[in-house]
Amino acid sequence: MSTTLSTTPNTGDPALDERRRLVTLMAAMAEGDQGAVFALVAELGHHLAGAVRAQLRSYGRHDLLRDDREIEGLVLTAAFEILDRAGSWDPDGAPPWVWAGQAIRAAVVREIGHATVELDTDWLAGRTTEPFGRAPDPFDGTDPFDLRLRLLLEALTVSASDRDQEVVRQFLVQKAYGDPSPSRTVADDLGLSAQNVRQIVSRVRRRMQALLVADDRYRLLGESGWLAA
Amino acid sequence: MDPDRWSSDLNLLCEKLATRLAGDGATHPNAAALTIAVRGLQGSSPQEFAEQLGLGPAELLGIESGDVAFADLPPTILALAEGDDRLDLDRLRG
Repeated sequence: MSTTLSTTPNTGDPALDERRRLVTLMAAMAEGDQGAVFALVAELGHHLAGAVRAQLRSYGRHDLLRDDREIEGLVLTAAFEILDRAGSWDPDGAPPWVWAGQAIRAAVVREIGHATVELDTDWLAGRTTEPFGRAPDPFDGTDPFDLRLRLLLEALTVSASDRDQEVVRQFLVQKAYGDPSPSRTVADDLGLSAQNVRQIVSRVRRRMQALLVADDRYRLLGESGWLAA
Repeated sequence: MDPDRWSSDLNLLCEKLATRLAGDGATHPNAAALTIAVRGLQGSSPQEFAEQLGLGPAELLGIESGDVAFADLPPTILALAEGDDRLDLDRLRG
């Protein structure tokens, strides 16, 4: 039996009604019901907007604070971050836009291009001396003593299909070598569209970041670079 | 933040969901996202919505997974979308 999205009976206490509504929607999302994210945004989007605005204020991005369309896009990004993590939410804990604040912050930063998440793949690039296409793949011949690489490969393996792993590996290699258009390069190499490559990389990155949150063994990967919050 | 001063663009949400579904390999992501949006906005679970439409759960799952083209969607879904002022059917057809 799937969880209903229907509004729970009105108690006369607006705060309690909203909390009960939220619990209903989060339970549905935890079951994988993507329909609930529409109700979340339609009914409680103002909370998400408040969280996004607070993040932007903390970065001093007053330019974006005045841009309603930018806020709108970031609110939807926040909603998807909550959807992806709904199964771990505690109904007795903080509201999801607070509870998932770190993930929302990371997603906001990714979208607005904050300097703290500039791709740091120097450690990958350092594994080879050749520029661009003919360079050896630093993922090959894995050094069993390079903990970060081993963790990255392990996290990638459990987070993506074989095809998507290949896309992400090639993307990271190109990025590490300084390719200004890694998505386009990988797309050409693998017969995909650049947009498709970007979607795959984004999706796999999201899953790997969720893995970092769920499994402390991967914490090292989140401390800097591509997966950093 | 004052809830009365915030109104989200649910068409944009629908488009973003379609992009995610396409990334997951859905053949008809726009039709899938629209169906999910209509159901979510009217507050129905998949089971309730399937019953409302007279579909089997597997049929609705197929639609929401992107197996069904926009032109082949059950007319009721399109009618519900047209009746919801928050959704712009022409925009969401892609």
